[in-house]
Amino acid sequence: MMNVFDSRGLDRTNCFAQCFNQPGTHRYAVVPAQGRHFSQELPYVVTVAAGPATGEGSQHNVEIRFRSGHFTAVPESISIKQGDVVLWTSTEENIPRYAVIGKNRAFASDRLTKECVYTHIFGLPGTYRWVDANGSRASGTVTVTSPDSKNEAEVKKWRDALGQVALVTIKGAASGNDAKAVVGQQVFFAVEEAPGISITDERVLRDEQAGGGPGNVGPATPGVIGVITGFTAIGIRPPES
Amino acid sequence: MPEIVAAIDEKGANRALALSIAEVGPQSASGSRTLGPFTASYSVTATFQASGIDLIPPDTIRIMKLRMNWSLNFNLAIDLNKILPQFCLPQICIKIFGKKICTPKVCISWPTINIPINFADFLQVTADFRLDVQLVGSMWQVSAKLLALPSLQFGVPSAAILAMIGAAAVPILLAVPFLGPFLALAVAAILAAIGVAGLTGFLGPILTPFVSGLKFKVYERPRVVRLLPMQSAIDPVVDITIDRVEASIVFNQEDELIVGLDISR
Repeated sequence: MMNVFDSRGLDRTNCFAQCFNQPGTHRYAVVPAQGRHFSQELPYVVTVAAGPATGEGSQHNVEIRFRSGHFTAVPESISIKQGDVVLWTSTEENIPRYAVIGKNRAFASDRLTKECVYTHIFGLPGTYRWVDANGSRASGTVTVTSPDSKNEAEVKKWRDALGQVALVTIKGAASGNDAKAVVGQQVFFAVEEAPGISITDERVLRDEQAGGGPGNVGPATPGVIGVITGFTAIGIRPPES
Repeated sequence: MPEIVAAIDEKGANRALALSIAEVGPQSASGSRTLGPFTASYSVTATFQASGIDLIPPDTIRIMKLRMNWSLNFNLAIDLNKILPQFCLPQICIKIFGKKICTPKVCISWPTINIPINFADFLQVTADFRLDVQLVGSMWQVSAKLLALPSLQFGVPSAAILAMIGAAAVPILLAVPFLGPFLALAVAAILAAIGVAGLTGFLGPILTPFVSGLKFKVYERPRVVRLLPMQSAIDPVVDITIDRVEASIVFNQEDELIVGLDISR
């Protein structure tokens, strides 16, 4: 299972949710992470019926699958009411990283704009500084801890923390959007309004800029001599402590 | 009665053995075996040394403290799903933007990890070898061949090797996402699954063939020996043929290794 902290590419440890407050037909594509330019097709649809939003609205889930070399959204077409939320996620173990891209960038998991949510589950402890790969000054830090596995009380406290919410609310391109979480806890990045930002691990961006290629990161831990099969090399790296 | 008899005492036999062991040189093997519920691929190299011999009539050479220095590289492949429980991260709901958003439960499937381990140790045995005479191609060889496999005693206790495996596993396990809280459980489970018995059962079959297959050359002579080269047309070569070789250990004021040759022209 991958574990890259980067909203530009989603995997099993991420969700992307968008509130649809305007009626209309919204077409979109599901593309490989950072592969949005490779296809102009928009095969999937969210149809939003006009009408006043009532209560909390409803959530509609779309499952992303990878079959025969391409991504599919299930269901391909959904009809929702104004004010409802659509959440894209995947349960596939080794799904390649993907992005959800709406027509004319009305909504996009790699450019978060208004009333949308990106979630990430951190698998390794450490301090993660995130930045906007699209160039704004939005940034923050997530400090992730792991319990001492020999201490039963700590492990129990950790299990209890998994059910709690860790929330970062982002407005504009401000910095200082910080959070604390434990390994395995879902962190919600709720973007109230922003100029199309990504939430990207600073080291991922640094590696890309150093010519490592999209999403490449270095070895897991200095001195680790083992090889993990069943994981791909991308994304397995604890941050600096 | 053999026509030619050669004899060496224990001192001479010790020297001959030392040369013979040096000739054996490093022995290597590689392969794959199960280690507990896991699979390990390995490569091993062994060298030998001995502290001395005892000649025992009629045909036994006892090698004292035959030491096999061995170094082993093995790669332990562990499917963590076999030792860790399935673990699911719960569904989480939040209220944001006036909406309720819930993420799905995520169940973790553990990967297979590979732990490389390099380990060197020795084992020491006192073993009896029997004299064995063979014509190999055009060479008569008198060898000392292992009579029976002795019990193998490792220099370092298996428990220490297990601890080494545990220590090697930790940094690799720590790099597995979501495993941190289960680290102590994972290490304990790996070591318990292998166990001391498993380790001995793993090392024994790898190292035993090096000992069980031991054979040291004690004496060697070509079957046809040139006594005199051709001197002229009327003085042809003079060769003798060794028709039979026998070897034994005899007490003659001291224990001696006797090699007798039956020859013909």
